[in-house]
Amino acid sequence: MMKSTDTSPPAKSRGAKQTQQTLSQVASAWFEHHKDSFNDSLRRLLATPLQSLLTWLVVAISLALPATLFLVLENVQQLGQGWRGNTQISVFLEPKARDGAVQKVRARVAEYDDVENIELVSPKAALAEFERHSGLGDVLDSLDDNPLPTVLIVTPKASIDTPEKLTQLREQLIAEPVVEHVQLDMGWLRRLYEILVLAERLVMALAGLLALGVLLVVGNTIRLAIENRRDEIVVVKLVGGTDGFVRRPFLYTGWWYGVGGGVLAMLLLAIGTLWLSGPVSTLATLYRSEYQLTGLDLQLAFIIIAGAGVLGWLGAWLAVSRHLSHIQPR
Amino acid sequence: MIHFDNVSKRYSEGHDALLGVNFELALGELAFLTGHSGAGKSTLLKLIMLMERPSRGQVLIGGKHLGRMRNHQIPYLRRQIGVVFQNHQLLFDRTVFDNVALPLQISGYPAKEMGRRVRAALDKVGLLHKETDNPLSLSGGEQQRVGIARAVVNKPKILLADEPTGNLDPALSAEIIQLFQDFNQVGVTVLIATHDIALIQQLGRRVLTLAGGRLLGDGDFVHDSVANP
Repeated sequence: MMKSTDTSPPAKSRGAKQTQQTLSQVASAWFEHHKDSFNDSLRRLLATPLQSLLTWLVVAISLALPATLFLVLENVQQLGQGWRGNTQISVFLEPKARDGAVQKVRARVAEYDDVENIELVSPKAALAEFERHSGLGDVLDSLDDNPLPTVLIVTPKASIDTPEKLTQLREQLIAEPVVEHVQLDMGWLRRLYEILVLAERLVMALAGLLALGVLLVVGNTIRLAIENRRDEIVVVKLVGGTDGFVRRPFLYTGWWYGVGGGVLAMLLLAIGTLWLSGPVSTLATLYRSEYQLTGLDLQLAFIIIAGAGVLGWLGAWLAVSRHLSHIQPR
Repeated sequence: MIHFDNVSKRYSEGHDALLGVNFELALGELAFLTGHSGAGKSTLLKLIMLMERPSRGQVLIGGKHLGRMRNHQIPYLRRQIGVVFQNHQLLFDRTVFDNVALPLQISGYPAKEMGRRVRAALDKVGLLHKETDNPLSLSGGEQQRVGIARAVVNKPKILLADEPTGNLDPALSAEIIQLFQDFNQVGVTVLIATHDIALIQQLGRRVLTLAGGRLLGDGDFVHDSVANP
């Protein structure tokens, strides 16, 4: 049954052979083990599909929630930008201003970099419009003078999209000669802007918390995986496996949990966007708007998936560094 | 090759497992380590593997002070030492081949070289035809031989065995011991811990006898020291 020793090489060459590995051999073996761990960890996850799917779903939901809120924010911001395009500034001129001065101011404001369009409403035209809309024709007729001033209606360019920039434009207009008053209804704009800043911070805080959640979920799952493979870890350590060798498969498992969850989250998000885009565009048509729901772009989706992978890796690292050192051969 | 210099080991609960143990095992030597259970055999082997560190004294392996070895260097020490356990320590989630290949995989051998060496080791223990089997389907003696194949596949300079014949009948035990003698003949330093006195008596090899943590006998087998420590 057992062979004699004569097939074995002599003693001296045995000892020497062990150290004969070249650096490139060791490097390629290291790379090989990374590749093996990468593939093997995914195989192990797929071997228990239901269990893995549950973890993936938890990760996916934790990622999809802030991503959805981020999308909502993005869309509201775009809507807000659309409204800001309609912002108009009414510049009331002194009633006694001469025609020449009025034309001069109008020409100068039209030259502003920030101004898209300028329209002059003469006192006569203003009065006519007021009569038409108010139905106070008789009362107005009884007036000796036309009390209305000349008004310049200024439309800022789309690039003037923050309250600060609008205020700056307003200051510039007030400084013009014969300008008596500049009216800019900015309250709602300022409020929307501040709400968006606040919402953005809330989304970021939520994303941070949920990222921590992903970290802990993956960490806990890896902890169980470590317990399940305790025997294997002991044997590997006994026959000379380094900590890195033992750690590697678990880190890749964490990576796969993250990446799988990320892909699933993007899938959920895509389905959600598709589901909502119909009603949204119908609603937009009712408001005579060209507005369309913006989904995640490919680049951002890729970043989120890769980020989830890194989170999973970190979660695994946490678990591994806490639990692996406790497992020693006895 | 293995040098113990006044080595003591006291476990944290105050139990002295080894007390002032001195001995030296030369390169290519084979020795038995014997004594009653609890005499310190396993502790002595664990000190060589750096599974434990001594409380006092020095252990030198191949001229290297283990006391100066950092934790991250331990794996590289263990790669030079093949170990056979009484309970085999085989993994039942993989084939016999993969079990034996594990030390090579860890050391980073290319796949081709790995296959060659694993088959050579399995051939040596007479289990080449079982390479694709699961170790669970093997008998106790076969499992022990898989463990031996794994211990020698990396061609270590030192081979340790902790009660390798513990669960085997005398005929199988003799086969296993013959294997160790074969490895010793090609230059491997071998230390076998066992309380199988009948086995030791037949061979007339060097025997280290432990009792209560002290090294009582060092030399040819002395029956009395074991029977009446």
